Amino acid sequence: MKIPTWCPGCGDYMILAAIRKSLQELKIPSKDVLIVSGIGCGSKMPHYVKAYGFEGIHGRALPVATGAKLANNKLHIIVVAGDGDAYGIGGNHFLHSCRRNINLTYITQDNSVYGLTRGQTSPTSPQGMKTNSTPFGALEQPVNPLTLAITQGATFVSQGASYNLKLADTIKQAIKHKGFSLVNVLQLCPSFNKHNDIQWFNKNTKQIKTQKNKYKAIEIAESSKLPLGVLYQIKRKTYDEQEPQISKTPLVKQSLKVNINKMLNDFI
Amino acid sequence: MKFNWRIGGEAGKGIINIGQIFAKACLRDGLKVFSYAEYPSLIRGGHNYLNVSVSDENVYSHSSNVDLLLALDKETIVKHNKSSSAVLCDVSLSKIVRGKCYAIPMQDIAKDLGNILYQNIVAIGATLGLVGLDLKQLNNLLRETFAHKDKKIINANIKAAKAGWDFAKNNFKFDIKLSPMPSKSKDLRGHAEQSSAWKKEDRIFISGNDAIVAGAIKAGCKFISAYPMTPATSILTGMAKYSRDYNIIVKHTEDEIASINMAIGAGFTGVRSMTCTSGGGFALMSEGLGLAAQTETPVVIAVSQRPGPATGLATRSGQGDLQFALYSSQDSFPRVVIAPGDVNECFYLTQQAFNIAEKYQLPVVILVDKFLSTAHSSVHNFSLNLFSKPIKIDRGKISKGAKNYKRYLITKDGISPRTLPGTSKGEFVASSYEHDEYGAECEDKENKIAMTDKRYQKFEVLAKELSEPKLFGNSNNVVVSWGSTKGVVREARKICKKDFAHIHLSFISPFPIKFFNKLSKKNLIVVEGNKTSQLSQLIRKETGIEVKHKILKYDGRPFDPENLAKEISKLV
Repeated sequence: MKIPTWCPGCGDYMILAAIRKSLQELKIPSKDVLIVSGIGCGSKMPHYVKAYGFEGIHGRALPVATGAKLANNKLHIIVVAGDGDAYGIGGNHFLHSCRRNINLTYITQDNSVYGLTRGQTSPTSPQGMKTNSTPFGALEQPVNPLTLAITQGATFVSQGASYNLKLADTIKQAIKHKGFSLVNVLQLCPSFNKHNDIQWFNKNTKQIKTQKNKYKAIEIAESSKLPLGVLYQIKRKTYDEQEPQISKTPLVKQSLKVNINKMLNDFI
Repeated sequence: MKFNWRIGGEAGKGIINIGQIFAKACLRDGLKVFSYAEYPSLIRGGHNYLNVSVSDENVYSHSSNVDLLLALDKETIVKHNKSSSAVLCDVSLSKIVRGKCYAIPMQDIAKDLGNILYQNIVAIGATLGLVGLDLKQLNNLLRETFAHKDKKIINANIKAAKAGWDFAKNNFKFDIKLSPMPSKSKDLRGHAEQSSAWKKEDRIFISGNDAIVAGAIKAGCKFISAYPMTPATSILTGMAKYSRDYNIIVKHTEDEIASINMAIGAGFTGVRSMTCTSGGGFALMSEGLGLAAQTETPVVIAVSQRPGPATGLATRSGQGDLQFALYSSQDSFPRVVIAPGDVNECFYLTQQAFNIAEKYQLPVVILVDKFLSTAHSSVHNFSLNLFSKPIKIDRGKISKGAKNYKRYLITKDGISPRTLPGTSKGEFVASSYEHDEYGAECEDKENKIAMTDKRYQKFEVLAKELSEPKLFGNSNNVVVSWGSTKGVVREARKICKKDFAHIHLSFISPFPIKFFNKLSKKNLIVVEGNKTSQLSQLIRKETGIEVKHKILKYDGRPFDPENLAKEISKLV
């Protein structure tokens, strides 16, 4: 196992520890775990967990994971992505994964800044935040990942914090949930986001209870204090459950031999 | 005897479907058939037409000659009268026809049967009557086509066909006569040992895209993720149609970026997977193409070309994406580009594409175009394997896992045994970063060289495995074609007054360098559907041979044999 290449004090260490802890406690064999990521500081995560890994291209972790899940629905797939990766370049895949309710665990490392490219504004940067790509302050309103997930059909929407020991428990619940589960992790970036330090988070977050009502959940997601915990959870058939082709045997285990005559008869 | 027929009318009125029923009736009479449609990028109101060439000999393409034009509206006459020897139309349109006209009260006959829509069937019946074929096959096809509808509708259609047929028989004479092929016909026979007579099941009438679908299914492809884009859409919808029969997961994705990344995810997990698109979608897949190369993940991408740039001509044909397929995505990496020339090659080379993708763990592009994707040809049923030996499934080197397992182990042939997720002691990370033998990110310069060379080593080994291009004929004048132009050149060879040989390239990458070096003294004539002769550029790049003559077409339409034969005869 490689030694992580993150800055001292980076939230990724705690996210890594929480992922390892949840997998250990759930006793999932490493051969059946696949960690998929895109590109970013935190996207190096697959290299540090004993499991199969796929570190793809920026913004495209979810489609890779979706293909893998449909190919082998017995795998436990955890997808990790930073806020730029998840809500910027990969935003389209995010909203479609929510409505698809594909059975994946999506852990987003949300530090409101681009780290690997050294400090540019991100989709979750607060309005006015000064970064080197917005030296006079960001003009856009930030994305609210929780509201976005709830409105687009995600069935498990939660938020954790990288410095909070309850994170592992939230991730465990997310892995156990059947369907698309989001764990948006509020993360410290001591190098490029000096604004959101632990003191700021302590002042601006609150623990919340799980809601089944979409509108109540949205109300909490939109309130001035950032919610921590499982905000919203409902039951809905997953995408993979609705495909009879894989209800008994995963695709990867199926025989490749076919009788093509059945199809060709249509062309006689 | 050859019969070139064209049916034209307003888009959205079922012109193409009804024309294909006529083509299939001829197929079932044992005749050789080729059909190709031109239609605009809209759903209703434009002008559609379908060419059907029927012969007792093999027919490899459409023709610019029209022996009989079936005009179902005024515009068809205005547009095609000039190029047609005779016109078949409703009496109401006959006044504007110049030259030979077969006018039938098809609208009145249809109205008498209860619906103006029957006029199409009256016209098909009349066509069969003119060329001397009976209604048996048409009636069978009508029963099959409308099997889910009310019996009354089937009977009315059959009556309509009979009325058209009778009218033509009783009132007209037509020079071209077709006759059903005898049941003992040798070249229609599938298995000689089975029976001395050919059977209906021995022959199929199929398009390039459907042949790609059949090839993918036969190869054990279990996953396709794609976004609709003409002219590749029917690969996606074809796979969807048969997905429950063959346990295939078909994912219509949010965009082409998702398409290729999902296919890569499925391929990484151990399923044979593919995507399909046209040039615009392939542009969005560029980065994913490199991802497959870097992570050494098998994936098959069917690209059906249409003219560009940007939206270009959405429903027309061209061969302008050859170099795009060869060079898209950043830096250099080996990718295989296969350009099938006909429906048989679509079926067999698609199967080979999956073998190559898995054996060599790299992306394989199947490059076709609107002409080949949509044109239908009559061929021996693929299941008889008369065109080629059956393709055996080869999944390449798969590891069962090991202590200290190295996913990207440097080997002599460059191929490293891969593990599939779920295998113990096989865990690794597939990384889009440059990586070491374990898969860990690595920026060492020696490693970068070793890994780049390793990926190219696979390509060297593959190049040796592939068979040389096919050469038809023996002459100093050699016409070179790639992809869909194969059939047109073969037809042109039949009618051209001067002799020439023909080379068809199905494998563009790796390029057959040695084979071309042997041709350096020949009078090479490259025929292709783009402005800059992208194949000639490639030949020069790979071999230094300067192709003297190029016949290029970039009007959005495929070549036709008559004009091509004329062009070639000027150069030989």
